Amino acid sequence: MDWKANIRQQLESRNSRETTSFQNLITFYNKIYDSSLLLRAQNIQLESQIIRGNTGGDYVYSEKISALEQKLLLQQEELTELHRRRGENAQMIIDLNAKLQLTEQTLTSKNNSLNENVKLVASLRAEISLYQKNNSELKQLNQVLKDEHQALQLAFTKLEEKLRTLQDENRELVVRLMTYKSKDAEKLNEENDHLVRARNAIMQNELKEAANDMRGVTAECLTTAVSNSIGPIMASPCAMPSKATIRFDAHDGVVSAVKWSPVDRMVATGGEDRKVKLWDVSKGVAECKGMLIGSNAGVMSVEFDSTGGQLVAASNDLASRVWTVNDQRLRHTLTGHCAKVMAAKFMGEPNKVVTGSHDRTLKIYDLRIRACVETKFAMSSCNDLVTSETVGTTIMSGHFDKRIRFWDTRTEKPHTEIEVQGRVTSLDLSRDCNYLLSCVRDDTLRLVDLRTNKIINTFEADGFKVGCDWTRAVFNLEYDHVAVGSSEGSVFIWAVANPEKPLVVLKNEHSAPVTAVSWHQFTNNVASVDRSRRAVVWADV
Amino acid sequence: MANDTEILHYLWNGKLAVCFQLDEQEIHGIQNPEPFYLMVPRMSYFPLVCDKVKKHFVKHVDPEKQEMEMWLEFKNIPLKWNNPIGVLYDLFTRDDKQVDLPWKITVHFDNFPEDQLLRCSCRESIESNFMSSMKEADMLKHRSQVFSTMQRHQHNQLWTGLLNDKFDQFWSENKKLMEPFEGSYFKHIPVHFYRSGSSVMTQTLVKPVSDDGNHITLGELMKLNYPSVDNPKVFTHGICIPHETPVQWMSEHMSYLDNFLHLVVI
Repeated sequence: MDWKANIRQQLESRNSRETTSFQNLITFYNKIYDSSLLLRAQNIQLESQIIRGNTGGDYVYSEKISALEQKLLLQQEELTELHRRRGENAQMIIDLNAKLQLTEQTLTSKNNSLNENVKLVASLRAEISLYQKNNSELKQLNQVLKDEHQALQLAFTKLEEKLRTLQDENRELVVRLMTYKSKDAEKLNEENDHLVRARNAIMQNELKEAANDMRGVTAECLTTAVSNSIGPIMASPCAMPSKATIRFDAHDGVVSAVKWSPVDRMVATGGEDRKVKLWDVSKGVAECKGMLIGSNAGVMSVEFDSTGGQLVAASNDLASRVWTVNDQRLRHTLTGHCAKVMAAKFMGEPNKVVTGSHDRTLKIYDLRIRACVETKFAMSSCNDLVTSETVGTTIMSGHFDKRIRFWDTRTEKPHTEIEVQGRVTSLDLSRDCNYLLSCVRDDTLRLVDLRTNKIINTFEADGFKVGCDWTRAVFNLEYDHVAVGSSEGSVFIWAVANPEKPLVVLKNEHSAPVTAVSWHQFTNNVASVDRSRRAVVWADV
Repeated sequence: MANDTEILHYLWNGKLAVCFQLDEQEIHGIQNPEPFYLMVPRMSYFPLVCDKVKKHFVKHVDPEKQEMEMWLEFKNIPLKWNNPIGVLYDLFTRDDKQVDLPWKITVHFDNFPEDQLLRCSCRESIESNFMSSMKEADMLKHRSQVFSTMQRHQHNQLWTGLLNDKFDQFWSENKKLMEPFEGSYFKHIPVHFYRSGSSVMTQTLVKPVSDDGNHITLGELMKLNYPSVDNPKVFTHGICIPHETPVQWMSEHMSYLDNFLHLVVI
């Protein structure tokens, strides 16, 4: 069994070589290693104990320590309490800060508004002072104006007084003039009588001579003839205008109105060239004495006041104007109508004017206050109107709707209406105010008796045609004749006593329709105007 | 037999002094770890003794790699944990010259050589590996009749005997596995052959007796298995085994704990 012994020996040597030689060393190493680990752990533990502050300390101090710990605990509690309070305080501070900010904001906004208000107050004060200054200035101005006004009032009263004296003087002068005129008339009558008597004497002489001849004429016949001839001699055609003495071109274009001055031998004409012209015809030729300007459209009618001092003209520019004749100055412009004014007349006294217009109203103006004092609604456009001086307040107006209306100034409605057969183009009143002559567009003239308000006469003739809506027909002074212009250019004159046949027909001067005629107040002169510039003065010589 | 038991005691008590060192490239931190020295039983396995080693070195590696599996290496050759420590040591024996003690082994945590080593995730995997080796050996020896008849607690006793380095506890059960199958022989001898310097293992079916009824010696076995090698030296347990030793006796007395003979042929 040597192999077994060999193996055993080898194993023994192996174990002694590999194991026993290292066994102790490694074991010792392992012990040291373990103990080092253990010591390290212990060391760490001890260090931590040291760090923990010798807690495993003396019993002597343990009580003190516990007391201190308790104290510490208390302090800590206090500390936490204080922390808590501090937190609360901090929160409070934050809240209060927020509140403070809020109040600051409001304060700033208030301050801003205060500043704005202060500014506003300052500006308002400045404004107030400005206004006060203005006010005082205005007061001063007012005072000045008042003073001026007083001064002017004084001047005005003085002037008024002067005016009154002048008017009185004027009236006196007018009266004197009238007396002179009447004297003139009487003289003229006397002259006429004288002339007639002379003629009669001549005729009687002739008759006597003829009677002495005795050639078969009976004395009865003779006397009849003589007695009959007296009337016709007085109203003989010789006294009627028969011849055109003056002819002139009055205006450019249509001449719409003509009127004799009541005091002078002067004719006023109005035309579509917007002017009113004054013509002196006393020297046998027409001399333009003046031009009354101011109208902005054609003049439809002209009218003098009773003294011849003022002239009123109605115009198509919706206004009427008043001039003084002597200095030819425009005194008043009477507005208020809303259509063309067809007629304007003085109402007796020289400071009232009545106008009739195409706007279907009549207006009464007071020249002293320069205002329309009354408006009458006539329901139809007015072509012409007249005022009755003696009756005083009556206005007669001729209308487009074939009616003549009679107005009282105190009432709003017409108190009487007369219907005629056509549109009324013109009206004229006799001097005694008993008869009214109207031109009607059925080519007739109608004579109305105002006492009965009836048409008593109708004047018509072959060849007589009313040319336009404002053809004017007139009475003569004695209102025993009437005159009117016709469309073919002639002027017809009728005797009131004989309406069937025109007494005189004045032809061959006008080549256009005659629009207006005017009879001189004291002589038998007739002025006529037509639609083509021409004006003619007819006389009986 | 008293002698034979003595041999078993010798083998059981055989220990190796090992010096573990952490691979220098894996050192993490300023302090270089000191080498760790340990006596390890030749019969045991590295994973069962290296707990302390791991604990010692794990502090010095990268924290990210601490959880990785530790593996060992000697002279750039990874050490297989499923071989007993003694076998691993004997593999590096050349020309009678054994490796110097203490055996300097390098410890690695990183770069696990997947192609050369098996993963050893836990103790159970070592136990199952050990038990399966025992079972295989018993299959060769007794057609597994002994091992399979053993109770569960007997298996446990084998394993705990190994774990706790208790010779009596282990051999009280292992004795049954070492009894001959029929007559005085095993059916086959469980043996692993290694060539020194390589970890390649070969296994052949070895019979304890020749056809003529004589027991086979180690010399005869070597001639049979390594006919080209002239006078091969056979090492196991750090000693050179005489050629005239019968393989039946070797298997009974010189086997490692997994009941295999691990023979290193030089």
